[in-house]
Amino acid sequence: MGQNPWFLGAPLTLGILVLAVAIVGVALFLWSRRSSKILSRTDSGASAARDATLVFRAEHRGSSLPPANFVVSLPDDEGTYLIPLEGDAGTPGEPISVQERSLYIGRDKARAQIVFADPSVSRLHARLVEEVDGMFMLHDEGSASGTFVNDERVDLQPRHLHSGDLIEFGRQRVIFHSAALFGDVASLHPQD
Amino acid sequence: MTTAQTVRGRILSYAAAQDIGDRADQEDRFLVREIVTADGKHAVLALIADGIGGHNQGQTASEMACERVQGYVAAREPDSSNIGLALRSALEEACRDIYDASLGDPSREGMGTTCTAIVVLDQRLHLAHVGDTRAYLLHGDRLRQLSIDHTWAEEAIRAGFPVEEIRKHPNRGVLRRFLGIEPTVEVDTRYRLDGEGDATGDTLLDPLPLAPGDVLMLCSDGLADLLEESEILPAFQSGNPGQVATALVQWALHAGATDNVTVVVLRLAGGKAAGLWWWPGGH
Repeated sequence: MGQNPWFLGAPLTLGILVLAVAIVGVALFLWSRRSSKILSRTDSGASAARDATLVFRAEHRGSSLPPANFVVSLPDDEGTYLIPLEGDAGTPGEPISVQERSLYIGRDKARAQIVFADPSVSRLHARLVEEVDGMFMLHDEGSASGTFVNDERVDLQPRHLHSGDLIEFGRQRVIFHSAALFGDVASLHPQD
Repeated sequence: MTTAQTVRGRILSYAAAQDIGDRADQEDRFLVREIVTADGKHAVLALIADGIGGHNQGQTASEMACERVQGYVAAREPDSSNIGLALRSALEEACRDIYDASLGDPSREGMGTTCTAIVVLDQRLHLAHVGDTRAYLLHGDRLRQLSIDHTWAEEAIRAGFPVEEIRKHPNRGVLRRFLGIEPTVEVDTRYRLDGEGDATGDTLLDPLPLAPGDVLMLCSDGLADLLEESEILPAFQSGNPGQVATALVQWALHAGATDNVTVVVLRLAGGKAAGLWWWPGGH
């Protein structure tokens, strides 16, 4: 009583099996398509990098220099620093010590030693190299927004830095300061 | 994927295909228009613009490029002697318009677009381009890139930087020219000479002669980043321009395209259809 004959049970079981196999098959197909797309994302990295970086041009921002004769407290008077200028007023921020002979500037912590979390800064933006003691060269690394020193673009050839130079990485601005070099931040305001 | 049917025009047949890839927005725009010059000759204007910029502004820029380039070419009422100059000027003016539209609206900061535009007239090609949207020519069974990529990698390699180092560089695809990022742009009318390394000709001075049956292809970087010329060559044997464009987009998707992909294919009337005898659909 209550039991199906054997010849009814077999087709039912078979049907359930076929359905289960179909569901698993569809799931595997969808998963494989998704996986291949994720895998390939690394292959078209050039486009992905372009879209993530905001291309910035200074025309969108009023030109502003830091206040004349501003004072920054440096931890070591003999050292080399990048002094960030913050906001439209260019208020000097916390000095960033340059301690390596070659370092990268960018948005990607995995690639750059000096990191600016700003979308106008490329993941890998520029490279600062101390060629000989006290002589620093700034290379642009093919950044989307460009690297500028005193309003001049650093193109395929690196640029020799002087203390007091105003450097722009996208919309991020810093002043290069090196005690070993002539010049200082006052050179930004020659009229003063 | 969206595919247009093949249109049989007076001087060539053409079609386009497009896919959004994995992106949220389709920022590629394309246009193909048959035009008549002031001296009564039939020509075809075709272009692809690949927009960039946050807040969906990439599509605003690429749409503007299509609309303005077409409008400025028409407004100049060029004849067959100055249509190349009209095309270049149209891109320059479109650049200014896109730049002006980006001012005063923070959400439009960084809005810009590539633009590769061609005019086919009297079996000669006029090219004007900015960015890395490519133009190719298939002559016989030889496919070659005509446009010059305005990328950092291309400039660095031409300047003598080590090729292998640059090809692996994370910024290899960074564009050096756009429409709209700055008020003016240097529009490139040069094309790569066949088999002569980095040598170029200039379509403004000497439009590139075409032959009956030649096929022109424009494509956004969604295709060009993924597939080498030798890999896409067999797709040209798949039939009429609509079938070729569809095949190329499908191949890009199969190769893992995540970016928007757009392909425009134009085949000049006459001549023997290019084909490999063993390829299905050839001949």
